[in-house]
Amino acid sequence: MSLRRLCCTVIAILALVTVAPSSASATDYYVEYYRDNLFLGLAYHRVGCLTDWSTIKDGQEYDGFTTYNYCVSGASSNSVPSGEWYDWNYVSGSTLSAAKASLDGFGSQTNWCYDTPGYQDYSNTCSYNIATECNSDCWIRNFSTRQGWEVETASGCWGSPPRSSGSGFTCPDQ
Amino acid sequence: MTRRLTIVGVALAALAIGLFVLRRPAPAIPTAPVRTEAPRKPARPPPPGTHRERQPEPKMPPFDREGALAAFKAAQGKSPGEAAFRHSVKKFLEFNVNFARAQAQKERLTVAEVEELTFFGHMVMATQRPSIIEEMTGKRLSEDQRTELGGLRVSHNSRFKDHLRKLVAEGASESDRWQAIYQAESDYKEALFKLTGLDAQALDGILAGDLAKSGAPATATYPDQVEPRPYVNQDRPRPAGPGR
Repeated sequence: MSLRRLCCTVIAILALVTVAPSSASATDYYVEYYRDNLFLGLAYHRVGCLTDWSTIKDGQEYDGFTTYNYCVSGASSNSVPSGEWYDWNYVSGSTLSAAKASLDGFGSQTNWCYDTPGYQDYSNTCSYNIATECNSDCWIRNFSTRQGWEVETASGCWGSPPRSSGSGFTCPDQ
Repeated sequence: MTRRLTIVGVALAALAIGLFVLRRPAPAIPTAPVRTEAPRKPARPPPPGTHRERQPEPKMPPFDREGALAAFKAAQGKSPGEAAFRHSVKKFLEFNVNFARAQAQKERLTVAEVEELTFFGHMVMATQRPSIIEEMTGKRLSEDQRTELGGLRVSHNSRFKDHLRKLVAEGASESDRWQAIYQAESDYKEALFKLTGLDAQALDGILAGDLAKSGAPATATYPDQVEPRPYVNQDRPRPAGPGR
């Protein structure tokens, strides 16, 4: 291979790697976050749903301290009851089952940290309190941080999750 | 040959740097310190790696006192759980005072109203946990009751927001707005009690929290206030609500 041809090849590869716009493929999955403003005060419930950006792909809610059904599989991603869309992130996994497994894994870790097994509506360890670490804002902040993009909340989350670590992961305060 | 390779290498490096600079996202536009409006969902998700601006958030001050317990005791038996819960809301608002001001401005309310509405919202959230309600009443909720419990929050929340916004739009007095707030709190409690079998005493117990666990509102420690509450003096005193 001549030097000129080698150079052209390298430049072409560089150009492709650096300039080519990366675009979302049809198999991308997302966690979309919605918030429900409560009574016009400074109170929100926040929840994440697994979507393909237009449709909710699974009925599991990613939220803490409530068992209310926000995510309806097959419904429009704008169908979340009283939900204002406010944030999102990519989910790893090119298949639905892989994407769900990924989010479920982070959900399980967060449930461990807050001692809310199975997304139950209370912690076995700490008492619900909006001004400490034991509420749904802190739950979803912890979850979203694990998932790769910490969502905005208006909570100080004073203190630490009731558990400091699990098997192979930690429960640090953000 | 070595010289040619060096020149080619330098040219490639310069090209790569140039391309990287051209592709770098534009500098972020400074945003307001507090945003209460929800962002608009993009029609299509931004490509991976797109720069995303973080919103400023409050920082965590150190722990150092037990005001909630004092509030709990100061209530002297008159809704001590609510007193402690309100104290936790007060601390929350103090800590997020800029958010509270922004929310008040957005909805054209006073900050004192926002504080009361924040209490209302969190009180409702505290009563949306079927397991706790079952523990307090000693009765199991049916699936229908559990579903209806969630529906209570959604319907009361939605109806109240529409109503209060309508009052604001019509130029209702602050006193009228307060009456609407107290009425909505009363309506929610009445519907909650009817659905679940809770009563005022049990509700107060829920608001006090589980004293056997850490962080119950009645026993929690909170940070000292991080800034004074100037809005309390700016706002006119709230009118007394029913039963206050």
